[in-house]
Amino acid sequence: MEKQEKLFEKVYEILGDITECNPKEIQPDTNLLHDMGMTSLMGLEVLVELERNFQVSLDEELLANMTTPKDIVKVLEEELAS
Amino acid sequence: MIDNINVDDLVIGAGLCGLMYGLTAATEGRSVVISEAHHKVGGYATNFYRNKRKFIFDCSQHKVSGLREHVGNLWNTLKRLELHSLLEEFHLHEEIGTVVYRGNFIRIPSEPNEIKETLRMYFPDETTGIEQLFKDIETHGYQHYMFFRRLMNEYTINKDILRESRGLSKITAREYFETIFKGNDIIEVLSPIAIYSGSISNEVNAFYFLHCLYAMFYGGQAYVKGTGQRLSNVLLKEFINRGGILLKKNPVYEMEDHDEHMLVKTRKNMIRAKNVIATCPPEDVLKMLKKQEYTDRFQSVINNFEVGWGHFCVYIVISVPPEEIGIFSPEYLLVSDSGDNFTKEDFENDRYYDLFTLSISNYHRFDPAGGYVIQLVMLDHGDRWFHLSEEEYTARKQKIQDKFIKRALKTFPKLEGKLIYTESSTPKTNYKFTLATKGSAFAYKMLPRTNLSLLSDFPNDKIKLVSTWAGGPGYETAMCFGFTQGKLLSKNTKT
Repeated sequence: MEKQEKLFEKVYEILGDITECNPKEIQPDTNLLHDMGMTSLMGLEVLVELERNFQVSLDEELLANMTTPKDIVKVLEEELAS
Repeated sequence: MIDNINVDDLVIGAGLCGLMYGLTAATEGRSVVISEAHHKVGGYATNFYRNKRKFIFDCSQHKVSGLREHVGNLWNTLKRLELHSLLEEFHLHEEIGTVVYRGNFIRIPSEPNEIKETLRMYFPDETTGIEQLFKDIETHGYQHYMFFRRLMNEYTINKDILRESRGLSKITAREYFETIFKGNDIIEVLSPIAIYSGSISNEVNAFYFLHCLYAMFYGGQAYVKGTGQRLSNVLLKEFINRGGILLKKNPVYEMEDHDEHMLVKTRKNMIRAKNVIATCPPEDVLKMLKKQEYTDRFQSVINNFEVGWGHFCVYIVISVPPEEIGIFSPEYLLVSDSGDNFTKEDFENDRYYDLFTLSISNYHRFDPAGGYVIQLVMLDHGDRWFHLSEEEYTARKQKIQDKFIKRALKTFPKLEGKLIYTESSTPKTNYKFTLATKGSAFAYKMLPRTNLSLLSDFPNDKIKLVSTWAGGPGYETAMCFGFTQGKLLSKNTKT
């Protein structure tokens, strides 16, 4: 699934930049809050970057359910499909 | 005597946060019991009496922000709760206070434009920095302050400044000041204002600090006649009117998870609660639960945070109205010549008490019925007090009380011979009555990278940490956080 791999790569890049973690150390199941120290403010920044990069519109409510990169990619796939 | 109680929400602690949570949840139709260890409500927002109730002293620093009509979050909250008569009890301050530095009495007005004018007048070389400061207060400070309204769907995030806000959250307020100002003097005048949030400029994160300045300068600083206790009593009365139950002198000992509910053992009762709302320190919640598989993990989350400052307070009654000895402002911040700063070494020996900023509050102005009261306050920490023997403790308390009075006399020499009553409290005193860890008056320190979100997801979903420990310090925050959590929980459990 090359397309999904590319999604993950970009998501890791964005997460890494904002949380100041090494993208290479992020896994699909890495917990954004506990493993990466993501604050609610960072969460918003992530949302903004995802919107910019993927040209999608993401509801802030979605943030509450995004606890891992896997969750983010799932939402992106849904948005990009529609 | 009620032996067994069944309730939707059991709130541990009747401080401002617990009272507001309880009030909100009761308004939403939930059954609520608040269990309080002390014999009165309010936590830090309490008063105590001396001399057959002729002298009244406030346990906290009575500074309440957010009361400006339409602008303030607390105003918004009290309006939503229909606490109109309480709103009317708040009086907006005509000035924020007076900073006394190097012989100057710098009166800080309460309108932002007037504050700017004052700063420009005293620091004509710092015009650029002052402009930048207010720009940052109006963008970053404003946005941080408005997160509360976002939860009410009344605010849209300004996405363009998020990255810069994050940058500001990584540095201290002092570091921030050093990037915008040329000299030090203006920094020493602005940084003591942080005392209101229990923040010290060389520690507190700049983004959070800007939000405090927004709350103070724009949000509307106010007081209630009768100070903390009056506020707490009014909230309690309203809580009971709306169906809430308060149990006083009733500490919570332990709790057990019984799947559908928590079984909570308190001094007088066994309580079955669908939810436990803990306003006590997070580590105490863990102590109340028998060891779980998540206890160690959550303890290490808690260990990320540093317990905040408390205060050393000297309560003074004088023989004449404060105006007669030159005390006109609601508060004076006495900054020493070395500035609103100190080193770790200063703190570990007692030089700190000579160097750091001393606040003189004119309590007579807030509570004329309480006597000619002034209170001298300095931020202090439990780490300097809890380990002392009784003798050492008493001696130290006296020594510091004398130091503070001496410093006050230097600025207000007419105080000489007019003191008719003095008493002091330390973080240890405050721990006794509030059970706040190490006698902290401001929960956890808001340092760069402090992330309170880590406390929002307690591993047992029947237990919620709703407190200044989880939401941030201060009167306004405590009250608004209790309110939003009360609303959110009701929203999430409605079928």
